[in-house]
Parts: sequence; structure tokens; C-alpha cells
Amino acid sequence: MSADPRKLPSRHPQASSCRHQAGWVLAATLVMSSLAIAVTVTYARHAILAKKSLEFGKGASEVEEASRSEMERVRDRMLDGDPPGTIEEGTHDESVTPTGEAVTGEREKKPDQKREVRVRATSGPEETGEEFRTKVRGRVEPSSGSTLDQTSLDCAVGEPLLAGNLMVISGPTQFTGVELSGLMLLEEASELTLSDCILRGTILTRHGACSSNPKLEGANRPVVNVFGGLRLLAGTEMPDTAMCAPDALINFDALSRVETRGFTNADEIKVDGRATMRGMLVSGASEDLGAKVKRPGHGRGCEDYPVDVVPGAEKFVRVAFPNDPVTDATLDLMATNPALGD
Amino acid sequence: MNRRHASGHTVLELVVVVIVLMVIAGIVIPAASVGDERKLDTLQLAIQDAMDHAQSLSYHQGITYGVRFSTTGQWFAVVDENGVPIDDPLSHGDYLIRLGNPELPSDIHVDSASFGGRPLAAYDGKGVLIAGGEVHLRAGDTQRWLSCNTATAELSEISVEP
Repeated sequence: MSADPRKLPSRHPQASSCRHQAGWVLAATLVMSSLAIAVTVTYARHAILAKKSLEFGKGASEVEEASRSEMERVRDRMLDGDPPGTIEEGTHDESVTPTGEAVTGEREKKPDQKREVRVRATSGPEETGEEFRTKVRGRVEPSSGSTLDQTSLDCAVGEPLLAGNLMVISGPTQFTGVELSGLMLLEEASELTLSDCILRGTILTRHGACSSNPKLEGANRPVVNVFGGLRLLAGTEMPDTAMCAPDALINFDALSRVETRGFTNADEIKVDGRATMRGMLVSGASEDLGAKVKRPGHGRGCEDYPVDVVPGAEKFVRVAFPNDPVTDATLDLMATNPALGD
Repeated sequence: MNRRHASGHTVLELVVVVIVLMVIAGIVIPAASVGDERKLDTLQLAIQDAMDHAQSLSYHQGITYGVRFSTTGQWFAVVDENGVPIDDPLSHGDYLIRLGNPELPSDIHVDSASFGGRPLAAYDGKGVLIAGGEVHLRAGDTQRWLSCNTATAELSEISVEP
């Protein structure tokens, strides 16, 4: 006697329902998982990109940024003739940055007329014992004088230029492995050789500082030779001007690695090595840039030099370049030319 | 009983569908609401490109170039010192951007532009912006005020009290 197949009980009474739901659940799970992953990745990426420590680029942290800033501050005080002392003397420079880093800066006289600058930046919640420190040391070559011993540059146009932090280069002069700051004045037929140096300031000639001074020609032109690495960074004395020497010759060795920031002007420019030159590059007689030289980002301009340098008490406060004014008639024509309609 | 299973949905199915719809709506609705901002971003970028190009030409050639705006005709153009539009290095036609151009987002407007009293951002022979100014953009009901000073020549958004 066989059982009626119509009355056979299912082995699992709810199996049909479960199988029916399984597809939905699988699809929904896949969709939800995909969305969850997409949302998580998107927000995680935003969170990482918004992290403050990445804003400085190249992985610099706020503490490192604070220490660099303090180093600049100490140097600025030195340029102003008000250098800080040491912590032991109690005359050091200290401050707290807006982001909470405590920074201290010291400047100490060393033998051989050298100055040592020490900077320390500290941050982090002290109760957790988590503390970050950076310490920077640098040596600064002394300039020709303090505020009591200013150098005067003659200028037939306007007032004489006064520079409190100006180094006069006469004849052959060489610097190797040092960090320099301030203005460097290249005298007639001088030869400045820089090897692995950083200069935060401006290289000048008398003609570059003031066009009324005669332009040096031929063998009387000052020469700048560069070997190894050089960073020529416009300083605070002549803002955005790294080199204003329209009667000088710059010669970068084929193996040199050069970075310039700011307006760079010379009569003759030879750059064979690797170089990144940011800012306007102007040459007079000739220009020979190698294939590995990154060109200035702001294009080139005509040969120029400042004609209106307003001297401050100790440093230049404004540099102006000659420029033909644009008349109102020209502007009105540009703004209303009927050729374009309205 | 079997018919109920075949034609209906379980609570779980409905919950999953509702959740999926909510998630999709949560993504789509905010995206739609920031659409006007995106349009304004595009327009701002196009204007900044034109200004940068005019500045670059001024640098290189030592003569005056500028960007002229027309609020009635709804266009802007890079013009030379005679007010004539220059060649666009990409399209090789006039550097004249009409806001109705299908390559630009729809429904965008320049409601006002004034640089020293003129609808013209002009650069002198050194690439310096002669006069700072403001530009007022609109996309739908969203508005944006841009300011530009002579030091940077960069358009930056400013907040304006209603």
C-alpha cells in the first residue's frame, strides 16, 4: 500500500518559502554591501584628505611647520637688529602658535663670528605623555653690519639706498656648505662662487639696485658660479626678488642642482644642470638653459630692473618696476568695443 | 496558503527594499541639491581660466589684455587692447564664451561684473590686474559673489548679507 503522493508531507514545511526568500536576501545583501563599501571608502577618503597634517604637503607636520616658522622669525629679528639670546640668558624668543605648538628660538654667538640659531617646537597633550619635538640648527654668516653700521648704495634717482644686512662681494669670494641671508652686493669684476649653499635674500649689483648706476660691461661684469646645490630664495629685504643683477653673469655647473624662487635677472644666464626656477626669469645678452631646467611658471618678461626702490630704515620696503600706465581711453575701448555687440 | 506565499512579499523583503530606496534617496537628493553649486564652480573656473590667459598674454607680450563681461548678452571674452577678442588656443576661434553654450552647464548667469567701474578685468603690460572688482554669478536660485584684488588676481568667493 503506497501513500497518496498528494498527501506526502514536505520534508521541511517552510523550505519553499526559504528558497523563495533566499534570492531576495542575497541580492539585498550584495546591494547593501556594495553601498556600505562605497560610502565607507568615500568618507574615509574625505577624512584622510581633510587631515590637517597633510595640508602642508610632503608630510610635514604642524610641529615641523612651527619650527620652520620660528626659524624665520628668529632670522627676521636678527635682520632687524634685535636678535634673541639664549634660554640660559632668559632673552630667547618664545611663542605659541595658533595651533597650539609651543616654540622657542635661540641665537648664540659662536667663535669665528658665526651665529648659531636653535629652534624647538613642542606639541601634544602632555597628560598622555605623547609629545612631539623637532629641533633645527642653522648657522648664519654675519653680514657687513648691524643697524649701526649700514651700507649705503648711491642712487641718483631718489634717496640713497640703505641696507642693514648687506654683504659686499669684492674680488673672488667663495662660500661652501653654508646658509646665508640678506643682500649680497656684487661689485665690479667680483666673482662669487657658491657650493651647496642656501641664500635667503637677494643678489644685487649696483646697477640692479638703481638704474642710474652705470652698467658693467665685458670683463668688468660680476660673475656668479654655482657648484653642487644652491637654493636661492627671495628674502624679506627685496620681496619676490631673488637676483637683480642685469649686468652680471650666472654660470651653473653641469652637475649643479639649483632652485630659485623669485624674480631672477642677469645679463647672461647659463644653466646646465638640473634646475627649477620659479618666478620671472629675465636675461639681457644671452640665455642658455639646459634640457633639465624647469622653466619659470610665470613666463618671461622684457629686460627690467627696479627704478623705484623705497628704502626703509634698515631694509627695502617696496620694489617697483617701470611700467607704462594704461589710459582710461584704452580701458573704455576694451570694455565697450561695439564689434562684440552686447 | 501556497497562493499567499506565491503572490505576496515577506516583511523582510519589504524592509530590504525600503532600506535600499532610502539609501539611494540619501545619495541622490543631496547630489541634486549641490548641482547648482557645481554649475557655479564650473562657471567660476571658466572665468578664472580666461583671466589667467589674459594675464599670461600680458606678461609675455608686455601689452594690455583683459576679460570683458556682458551681462545683457551673457558672455565673456578675452580681448586685446583694442577690445577685439583674441584667438582661443583650443578652439582656434574667438575666445568668446557664451553662457548658452551647450558645453557649459545650463541655467547659469553672470548678473554683474565690475572692475573699477568697468565690466572689464584688464591687465597691464606686467600682467598686473589694473583694478580689483567683483563678479556676481547665479545658477538657478543659488548665487555666488566673487571678489578679485590686484595683488593676487584670483577670484575668491565672498559672503554677502542678504
